[in-house]
Amino acid sequence: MKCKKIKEIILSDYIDDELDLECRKNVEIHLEKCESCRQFKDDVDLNIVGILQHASKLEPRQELWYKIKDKLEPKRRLFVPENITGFLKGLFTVRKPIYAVAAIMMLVVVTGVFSKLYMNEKNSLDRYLGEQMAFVLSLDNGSEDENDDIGIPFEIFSI
Amino acid sequence: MQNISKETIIKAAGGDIEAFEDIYKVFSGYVYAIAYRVLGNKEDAEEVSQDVFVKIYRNLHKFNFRSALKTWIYRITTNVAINMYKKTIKHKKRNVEYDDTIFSEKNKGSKVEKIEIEDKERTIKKMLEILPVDQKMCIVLKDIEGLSYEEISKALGVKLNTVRTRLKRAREKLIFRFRTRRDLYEV
Repeated sequence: MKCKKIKEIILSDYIDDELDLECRKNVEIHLEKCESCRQFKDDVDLNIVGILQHASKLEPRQELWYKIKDKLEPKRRLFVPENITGFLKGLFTVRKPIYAVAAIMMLVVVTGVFSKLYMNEKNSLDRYLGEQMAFVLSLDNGSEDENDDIGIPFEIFSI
Repeated sequence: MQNISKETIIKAAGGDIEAFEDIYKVFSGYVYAIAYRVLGNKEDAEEVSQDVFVKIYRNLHKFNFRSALKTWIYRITTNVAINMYKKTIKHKKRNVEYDDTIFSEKNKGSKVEKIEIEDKERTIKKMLEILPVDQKMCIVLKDIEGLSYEEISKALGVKLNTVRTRLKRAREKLIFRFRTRRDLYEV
């Protein structure tokens, strides 16, 4: 067998123990006789395959499992905006204009309803306050109101 | 490599996270190691590992037991790692600096032994950087992971002769580099 062919076999099947018994024997017979091929085989064995075969065992960090688990079981997260601007931007970003129009109209209607309720409430309050004020003023002026008369003279009442 | 029972695989395929964690514990080292050796840095290796295990989890129901689980997982790992490699090459993100990834022997032994381990790892990294990704993957699977030609052929989805040729060419490059520019192997 020629050296070129032997070296090709050394680089693959021979060094990887994939040769059948007969082929392996033929290669070894050649290696016994050929210094160049023997040196070549030693170089491949010690300085290539030998180094790689002694590579360290690698381990991932423990955190890797938790990262993977998070991807497999996504959990609901509380929305925590990173900053106010981002939050407001997210709040007011609307995908379709029709939704924005509907939201604005709803806001107007709700505002109107609550305003009316408030105004009604305010008017009642104003009326009540006005009546009370008039009563107090009437007391100050000394004016008599027959509605105040309870029908019994003071002298009799105070006994 | 510890064997995973068929029952565990079926449970994991049904969504049982605890069963899937058993699979993860057996295979995470192999997946991470292949990714790290091909990509050269721990960040990319972790990203690939995550992608691989998510893919495994989502596709485990398709695993039909015709091949070994190991072969199936190696197939996914090599595909994801090679795709990531091609992507990072395009964006030139490859980190060629040595990083302090976790070697299980690193924390054991004397200071001298630790330095020897680091030197050895630097050498291996330099050797693998010389090779194109298809040859690098074959070398990693054969010389570092110890797979047979047939297992590599199934993992990569290529013919046996293709595996043989890639290994031969990879070692030719490495031996040529060793003989002509030995300084590139020295730390």
